[in-house]
Amino acid sequence: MSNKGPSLKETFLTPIIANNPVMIQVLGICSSLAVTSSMKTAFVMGLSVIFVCSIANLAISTVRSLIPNSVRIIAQMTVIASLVILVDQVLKAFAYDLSKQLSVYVGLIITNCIVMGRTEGFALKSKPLASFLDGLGNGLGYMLVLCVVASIREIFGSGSWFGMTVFETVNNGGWYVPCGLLVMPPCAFFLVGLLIWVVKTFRKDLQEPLEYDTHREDY
Amino acid sequence: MSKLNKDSALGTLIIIVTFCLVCSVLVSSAVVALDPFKKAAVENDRQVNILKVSGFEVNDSVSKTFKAHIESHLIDVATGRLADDAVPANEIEGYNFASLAKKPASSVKIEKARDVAKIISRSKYMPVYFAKDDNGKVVRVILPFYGQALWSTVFGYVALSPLDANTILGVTFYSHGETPGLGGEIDNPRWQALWVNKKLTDENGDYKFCIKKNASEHDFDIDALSGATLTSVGVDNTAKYWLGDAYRPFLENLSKGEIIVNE
Amino acid sequence: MLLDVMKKFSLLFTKGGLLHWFYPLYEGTFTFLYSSGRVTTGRTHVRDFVDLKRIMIIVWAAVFPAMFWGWYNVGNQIVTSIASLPNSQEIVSEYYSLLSADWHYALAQLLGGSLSADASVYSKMLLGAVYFLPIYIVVFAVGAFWEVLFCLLRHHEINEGFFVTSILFALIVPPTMPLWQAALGISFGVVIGKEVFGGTGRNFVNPALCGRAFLFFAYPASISGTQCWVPVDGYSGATPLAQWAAEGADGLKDALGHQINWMDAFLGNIPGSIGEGSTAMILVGAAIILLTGVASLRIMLGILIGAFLTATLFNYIGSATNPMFSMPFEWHAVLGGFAFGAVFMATDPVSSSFTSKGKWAFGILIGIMVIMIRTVNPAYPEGMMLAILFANCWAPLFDYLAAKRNIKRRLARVQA
Repeated sequence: MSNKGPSLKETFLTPIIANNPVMIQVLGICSSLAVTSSMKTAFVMGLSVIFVCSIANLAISTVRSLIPNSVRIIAQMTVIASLVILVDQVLKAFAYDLSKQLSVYVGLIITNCIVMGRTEGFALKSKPLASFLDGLGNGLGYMLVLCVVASIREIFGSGSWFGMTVFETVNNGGWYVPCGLLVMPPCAFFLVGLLIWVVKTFRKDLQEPLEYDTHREDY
Repeated sequence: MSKLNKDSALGTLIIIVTFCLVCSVLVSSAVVALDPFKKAAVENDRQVNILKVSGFEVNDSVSKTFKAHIESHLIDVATGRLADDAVPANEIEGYNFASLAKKPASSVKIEKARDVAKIISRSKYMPVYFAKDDNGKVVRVILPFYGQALWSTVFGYVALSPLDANTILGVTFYSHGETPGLGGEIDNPRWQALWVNKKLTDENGDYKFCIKKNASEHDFDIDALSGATLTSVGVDNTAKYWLGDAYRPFLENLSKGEIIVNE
Repeated sequence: MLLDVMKKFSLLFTKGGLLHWFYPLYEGTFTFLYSSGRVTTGRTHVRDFVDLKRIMIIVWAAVFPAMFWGWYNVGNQIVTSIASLPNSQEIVSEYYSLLSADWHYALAQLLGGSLSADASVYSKMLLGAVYFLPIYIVVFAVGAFWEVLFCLLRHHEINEGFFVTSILFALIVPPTMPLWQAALGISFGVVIGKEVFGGTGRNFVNPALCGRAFLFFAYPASISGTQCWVPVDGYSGATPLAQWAAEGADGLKDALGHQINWMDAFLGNIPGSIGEGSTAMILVGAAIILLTGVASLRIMLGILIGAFLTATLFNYIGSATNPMFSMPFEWHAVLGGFAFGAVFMATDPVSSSFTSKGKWAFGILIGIMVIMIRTVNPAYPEGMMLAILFANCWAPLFDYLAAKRNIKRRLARVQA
């Protein structure tokens, strides 16, 4: 392999902000809407994706020379699905309450485009260590967005963070009127959108070029 | 043997079969190894919820407290009699009435006019839990109930006093999909506390318990959740079906002392 | 004279001037007083003094009848509701309000209003204004803050669309809306509903409705609940739509238990959001914006047709359990936000369709959706807001299809 590729450090760090799977590539939106109403679920979901993504990358990369080209997608799915079932079973056994709240979304990591995208796009043509770091970085990037969104949603939607009371809500005799929109899944769309706005405002290099200038004076 | 061509038909087949075998062994061994933990977690969850309405504090472990204070039985809903013999003894614990309600063999269809909880059919038998104090005296009778609210089916337990089989001593909801902050407020302990000491029927035996706006009658009415009229109506109907209709024979037997609860 | 002063100052604000960051503020003031200094320089040339600002001011003026009626009606509802309470004598007495927590009553009484059942029209209007104006002032100030902030950051001119957005928004919230919620709502409407897409003219939903939708989902207790429409402590009255949804036509009762008839609803003697009460007054506004050519008759007619057909269809289907099925079209048209939405919200030139055929389709879709939501949805008795927002999303598609059709037809003519 040529030395022109990114260094291991870059492989690991780029997906966290600069090429964040959720904010920049806009992948894995479905689950980030569904599990971010509280920090606990978002955190556990983030950990699960980190685990699945890094191990799947590692496994696929290790056997990449053996995988027949015609069935490579199926082979990847098999590995990913096995890992997801593993995670799901572990959660059911040791964190039953959380797995009830996460319901189908742990299972749906299988269809999370981030995982599949990394194995197909990176692990199939990279060395195991680099793949592992890439999976780790993407998982972390995903988890970062999830945790930011979930923090906002839980603090302002339920008045708590990780289940600890931050604002005493009116229904519990306090003063804070929780914002009901924030506990509904669609609001995560707004938050992810605003997050993209904020990140791209501070990182001008991430902005797409203008398709046309809306401030032209000659129309 | 020459090197196998991985892209040939045979090569593909061999590799994929190997792949699947490795993965399936991995997955199935995980499932088998974790099974006892999973069962324990499900059981633990059920026990926690029942203990919530039993009035007993969990001191050391959930299962110990449960064993010490809770006695599980089955009742035949139609006759209102205990029916522990209907299933093998080990199936009484964790009796899955929700899934049995969907199977024709083990369920009863509910007449449309009576089906205010909108559950279509119910299991023939329902579990009932007697909560006993340290002296073995039954202090609460705990009944599961469930029904359709605004967006989802709400599952809960209600604890009644064994003395009159009429006074509510506690309620909890363990599974629902109502809007958090609105209908989801059925989980709020402050609202659940309103249920305590309400009566189901008046002295003539007429069902009077009601969840409504501007609760007026102190003994029977509970204020509906603000901003969640339809969830409140759903829970009201659920209570109406189970406590005012389906469990009626059992509750009458209980109040007449025909169900022996203090052995 | 003022013109000369303004022109002199213009140097300060243009590029390189001392205050060029604040050019939008200067421009806004200037064009508010005089006409725009901008002349088209491209190939097309427009000679018309009816610019966006004139359009917006016409709409602004057109909501006045509905607004004034709203003041009267809010006051009227309060007075009747108080009269229905057991302790009404105590409430209307001179000093009760000063002692009670509600500063609205106190302010109205200080200004010479009365809360008793025989209160004059002036008293009632005053009472209504005491509820409406704080909401409007807050909405205007907060909305203007966002508008100016974005204009300064993006160096574009202040857009008068905001004048209309703010008054429409203030008119479609219940009089009991807490002020901080109103502020949040308009912030959401202006920022998410409009500015993120590039400001006035580039938004695809109506910002005022977008802000209301935010409040509707975020704080349903203060906007969709049943106790929020008449600001009287201890009185809980549902809107007529909610009453009908619960008990059918017989359920329509006012605070004193009198049956509400159609004429009451048409004139607007019913509780509801501040501006949406009186269909009659809204029709006056409709006449103004239609005659000046600001709003599209096609959209309004489309809504009426769509709603009429759907409501009649539901009347024929009928339902034993859902009283809303039996609500006839003429009732749908006078209850809730139907008239206000059809006249002032759906006709927003930015977020509706542009093409004539598109406008018909846009209107009909709103008409169908509003009746569908009101009748079939179990949770929301009102449907106008969601119907218009829904149709807003479809508007570009209708235009696209209409344009396509047009191209196809003309092609056929050329080829023939």
